[in-house]
Amino acid sequence: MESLLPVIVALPLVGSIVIALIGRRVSREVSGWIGTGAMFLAAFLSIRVLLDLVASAAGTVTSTTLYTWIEVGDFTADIGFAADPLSAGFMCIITGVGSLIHMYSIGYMSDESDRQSVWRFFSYLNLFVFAMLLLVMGDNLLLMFVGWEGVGLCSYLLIGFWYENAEFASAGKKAFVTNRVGDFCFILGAFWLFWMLGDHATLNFQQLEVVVHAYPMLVPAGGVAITSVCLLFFGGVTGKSAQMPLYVWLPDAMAGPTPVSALIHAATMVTAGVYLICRLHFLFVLSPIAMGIVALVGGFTAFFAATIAVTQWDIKKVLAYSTVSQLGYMVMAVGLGHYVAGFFHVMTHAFFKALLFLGAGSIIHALHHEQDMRNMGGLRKYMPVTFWTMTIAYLAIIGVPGLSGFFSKDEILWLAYSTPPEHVALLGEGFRIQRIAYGLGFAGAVLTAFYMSRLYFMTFFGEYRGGHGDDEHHAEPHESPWLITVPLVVLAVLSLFGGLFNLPHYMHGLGLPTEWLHHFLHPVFHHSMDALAFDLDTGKEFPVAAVTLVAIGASVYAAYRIYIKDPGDAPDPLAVEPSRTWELSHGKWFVDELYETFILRPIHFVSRQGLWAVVDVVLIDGTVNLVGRTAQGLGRHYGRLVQSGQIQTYALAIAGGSVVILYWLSVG
Amino acid sequence: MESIGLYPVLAVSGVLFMLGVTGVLTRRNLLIVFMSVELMLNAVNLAFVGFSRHSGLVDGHVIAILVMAVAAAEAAVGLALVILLYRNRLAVQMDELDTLKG
Repeated sequence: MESLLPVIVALPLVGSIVIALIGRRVSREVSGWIGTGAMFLAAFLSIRVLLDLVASAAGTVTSTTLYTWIEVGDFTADIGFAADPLSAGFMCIITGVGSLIHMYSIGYMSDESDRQSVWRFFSYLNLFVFAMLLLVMGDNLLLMFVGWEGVGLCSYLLIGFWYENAEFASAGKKAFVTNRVGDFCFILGAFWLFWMLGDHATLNFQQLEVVVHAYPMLVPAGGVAITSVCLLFFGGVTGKSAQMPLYVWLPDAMAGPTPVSALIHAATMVTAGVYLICRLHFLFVLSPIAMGIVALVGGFTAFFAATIAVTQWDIKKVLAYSTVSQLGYMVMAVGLGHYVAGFFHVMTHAFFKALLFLGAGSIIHALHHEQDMRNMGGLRKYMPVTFWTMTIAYLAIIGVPGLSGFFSKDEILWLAYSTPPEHVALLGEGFRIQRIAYGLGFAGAVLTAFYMSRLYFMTFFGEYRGGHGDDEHHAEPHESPWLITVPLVVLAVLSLFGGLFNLPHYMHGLGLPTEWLHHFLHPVFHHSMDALAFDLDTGKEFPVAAVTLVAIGASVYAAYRIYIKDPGDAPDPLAVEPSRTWELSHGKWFVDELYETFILRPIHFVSRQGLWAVVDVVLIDGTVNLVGRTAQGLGRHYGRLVQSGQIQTYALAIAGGSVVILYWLSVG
Repeated sequence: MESIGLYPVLAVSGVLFMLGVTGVLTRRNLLIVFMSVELMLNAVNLAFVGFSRHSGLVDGHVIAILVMAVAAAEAAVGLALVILLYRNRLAVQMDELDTLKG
């Protein structure tokens, strides 16, 4: 079984290379099917690996080393892959959801008027999956970092896929540069960790955990060093997983084709940060301060992004801010030490958010690249499959009982509510982070219910507001082809039943296995789980869920009142007489403008007026020019005397020089 | 046979060499300069031969014969250059040939 691991990683890479080589000569469908085929095969093998892990004894890790990559003194880094329950879970999400999205893309990218070569799209998409698998399967930090950078690169390439549009191209650059800030923190954290471990330094995850447990004096719990290392890694997480303050790239990343938004910017790449924290759980548990900051940042992001999503008009922007918000929940969960709950939400979110994006893509495809929800409406009549699958995704994300999102989100909220305060110490005992995180998460859930209802009502209900009759194409929206609807249906089934993987404790009466994921992942986290020694009050789980449900119900009803029952003439009633809060939210709290004013402008100013005008022009250029001018001047004034062109002058110099040398030789 | 010793030979060689150098550095006629160079070469030859006799090894003689051969070739090339220069520039005075000045 371990021999399967390199094959799984290699399949998308081979697919990518093959498409790149023959893509010019074959039709776009052929390159699409090559990529999709590689993905389905990888998904099949990943599921086999997962099933083998389920069947094998607890705590098993399969790993295989291809060869030693770097060897310096005692230090080695391998090209090696490992699959434990955590990474096998991620592999299945990546390849499973990935293959559905590849298939969808064949239908989505069939627009003949698109002048870009579509084989490039599939080649990048496969390359992305390769990098993502490298990230989750690499058995050491260095290999993981290669994948970490690789997914960033592919994200950049795919956001700017339609690079002839300058705005799209610069969105790609924004994503890349913002991610670089986080990646820089990541690599600094890795350096510091390596340095801290001294003679026992290693980057292999399994050995790292052993070393950290065996030599506690190297990594003093609660110390400044370990806190700094964790926070540096968390800096990487804020970049890749779009948390405060580096989340700004993700909404702009929607410039890419919609399948890219679904795969990279919702289901897989952005969860890499959550994976990193899960992978390094044994470091994070050593620093309650770092965990507190992670939880707080996650909770705040969950709330903050939701407030922006409430007023956006672009359907993909709403979903993008929703993704940032949901990622906040995952980060909050792992920050509070609930790794399984975090992974559970990664999984269910991958299902329903991929479905939401693909559904939105289906609408955009049907409406010929219309993304403004004010020009939609009434689509349930025209696009029944999209409507019903989107309905399931909508119910899942707002957390209607029985659907996947309900179980994962409410588990996080309950755990946040009942986490013992000493695990996440920040600013002393009195500052109860877990309650603040719970409050933010609860408010975020209420807002989520509102903005998702708004999206759902604005697109599918009421009258169709697009198409003014003068354009044949826009007159009548139509359902998308089967290549698009089949993945929607499969994802809808997963969104519907995804919760079965980890049913809450209070449902044990149904005869179904409860907390299955918890048991499956326990071997990965058991040291940290034991260290945190959760003694949770399971009796509170049901009441917390009930309170959330009531609030969500009220929220949906409010959206119903505003957007369906009493809509008035305007497509967005709230925008008719916008309040100050509405404008702030619609302007995304002007965070981009804040960054522009307080970070970018000063950097530009210092670069232009200081580094360029002074350091470069005056200091560096000045020095170089001075050297040149000095040589010129010397030559002009004194060189003429020597370089007379008279052979005898030169001969005199040679003779004189010989005399000096001879004298020097005879004296010395 | 009474040997005259090394030092007189070296003295003559040194004097000849200095005469040659003075000629090269001070005379303006190319042909004279050329002859002065030959004088320097022969001064060196004399020193080689003197050393060779003093040490009893034949190396010095070999070098001297080599220098003569090279000097003959050099004279042929050098005189050809002087003739060409005269044909092209109508000058054999060194101070008129200063096209290389900076």
